[in-house]
Amino acid sequence: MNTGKEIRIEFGKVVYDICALAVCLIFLIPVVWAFFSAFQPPSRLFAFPPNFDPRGFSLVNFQAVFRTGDVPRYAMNSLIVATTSSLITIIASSMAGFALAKYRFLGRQLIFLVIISVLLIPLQVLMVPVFLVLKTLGWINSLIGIIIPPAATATGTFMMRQYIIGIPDELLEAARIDGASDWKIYWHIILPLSAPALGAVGILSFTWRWNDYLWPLIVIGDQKNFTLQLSLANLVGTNTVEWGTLLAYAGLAMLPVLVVFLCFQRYFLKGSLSGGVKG
Amino acid sequence: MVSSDSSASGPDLTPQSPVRLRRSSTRSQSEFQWAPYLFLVPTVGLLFLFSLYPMGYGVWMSLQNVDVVRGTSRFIGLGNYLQLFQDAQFGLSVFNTAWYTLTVVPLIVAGSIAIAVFLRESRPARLLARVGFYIPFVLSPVVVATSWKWLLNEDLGVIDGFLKWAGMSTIPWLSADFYARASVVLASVWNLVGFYMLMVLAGLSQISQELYEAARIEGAAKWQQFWHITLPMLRPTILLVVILALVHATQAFETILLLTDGGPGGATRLVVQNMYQAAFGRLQPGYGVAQAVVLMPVILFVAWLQMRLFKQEGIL
Repeated sequence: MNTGKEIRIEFGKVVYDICALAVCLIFLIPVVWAFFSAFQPPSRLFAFPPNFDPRGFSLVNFQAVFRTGDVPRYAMNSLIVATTSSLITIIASSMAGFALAKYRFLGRQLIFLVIISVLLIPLQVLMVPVFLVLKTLGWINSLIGIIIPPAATATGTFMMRQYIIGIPDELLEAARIDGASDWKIYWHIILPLSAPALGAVGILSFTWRWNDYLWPLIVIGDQKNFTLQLSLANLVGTNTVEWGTLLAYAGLAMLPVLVVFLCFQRYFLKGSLSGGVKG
Repeated sequence: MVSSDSSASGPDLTPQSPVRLRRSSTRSQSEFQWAPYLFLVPTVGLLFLFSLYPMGYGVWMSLQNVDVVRGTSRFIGLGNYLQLFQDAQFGLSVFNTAWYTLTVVPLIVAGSIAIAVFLRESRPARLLARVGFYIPFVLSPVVVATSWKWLLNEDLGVIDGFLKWAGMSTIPWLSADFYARASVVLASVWNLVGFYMLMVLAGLSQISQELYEAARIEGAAKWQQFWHITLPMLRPTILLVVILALVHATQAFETILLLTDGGPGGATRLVVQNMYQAAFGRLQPGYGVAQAVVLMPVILFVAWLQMRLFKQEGIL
């Protein structure tokens, strides 16, 4: 059925595919390697070439993680921070996005410009004065101090505005004729219709807040308010803990974000790419 | 404010009254007066409290000598700035930030285009890449730094382990100036390039196949197609990648802090870390903030570039 030439082309394609897949895998080596190492018993951790045989795997490193501190508590703190902060982001950015997308009002362009440009200035640069603001508010050493400051994001506001622009005006006009208030329009029309964008913003900000390191580092001093990232970072910094334990801890700390990402992957990509590339 | 707006807006004000249907994407000025402002309160409030006010406060603080322990501060004018320009440590961190940015950004841009163009031809790889290449980007700086610290560990690490196994001498990845800098760049590029690669991939998919078809009929070679079709058509995407990568580069701090702690001897200490150490390590917040203020024009310039791009794309 195939002529020789077609077979050659097919073969070339397969080789190409294999090379391309190899590039993907090489790219992932740092994570995969750390992951495999986390399962090696300390005696075999530094062996090269390493052991990929699952029969030689052990969970001692993971057990050791829980001896380094109150890890369940840190996990709970991370979860609380990531969820509440994302909720605030979703609400604030959808409200702002709605206002900027569907209203014409004095200062609209200016406000949009200011929001985007100011939010583009990284919190890192402002960390010292923001720290003092938090101190004045009495939020140092409490979770609220890492929940609130990063909650307004340029990406969130931007993505919501772009999405809401696409909602047909006719729907809003119709609701208005039926006597719906602005809040009702927001709550009953805008929010449900922008579910995909809300999801994308929510997932993105969940991963950001889960991964945050700088804010906890500056704000949290008390061990009981540590997040996972902060406690892992502290262990990495001290150099007193076994490598196997650190890698197992890193695996645990990235697990929720990986799961969320793998589940909502399509959603995730569409959201951040359309927000980034075309807008 | 509401009432004054109402009086100016005429009969179409009350929600119950019939509205003139407008085809424009925004509403007419006679409707909705105060609602948009209320909707903007949460975002603008946060922005004021945690960005605008700190910015102004920061500038004022940089003119003070703040004594954290006693809780007092004394106005010293430009004293912090004068000290800054004689501070060799600060000079080094500016230099470090410059080389870091000038290597990471081009590497990300070239890398993301090269990988995207390569993977594009292969369907299975494209599918795998959508997941695989995104993963480093969703990992936290702490996890990225931990993994790389492990890979690059001197003697014990995987890379040195491989070198030893292959009978070569090991490399002091994190303890010699040059290698520490290379390691930091490597980890940063690895961390970010996948995300930008996906952006380029999305850009590539929007280029019409007919262009390539026509070029093939004309007998254009692959590299000619790349040079005359792919690159020009990708221009907006590339611009976006450059600017976003610049933003990322100016923010890079956490991964480096954990990977090398700015060492050896400050070879990988960027301005942000210098500022962090002055403010929180040596308890000289005024001096720390002065560094942020010096960095500000650069940050504002990048932000301005980003805005310009958005405008050009018709987003703003």
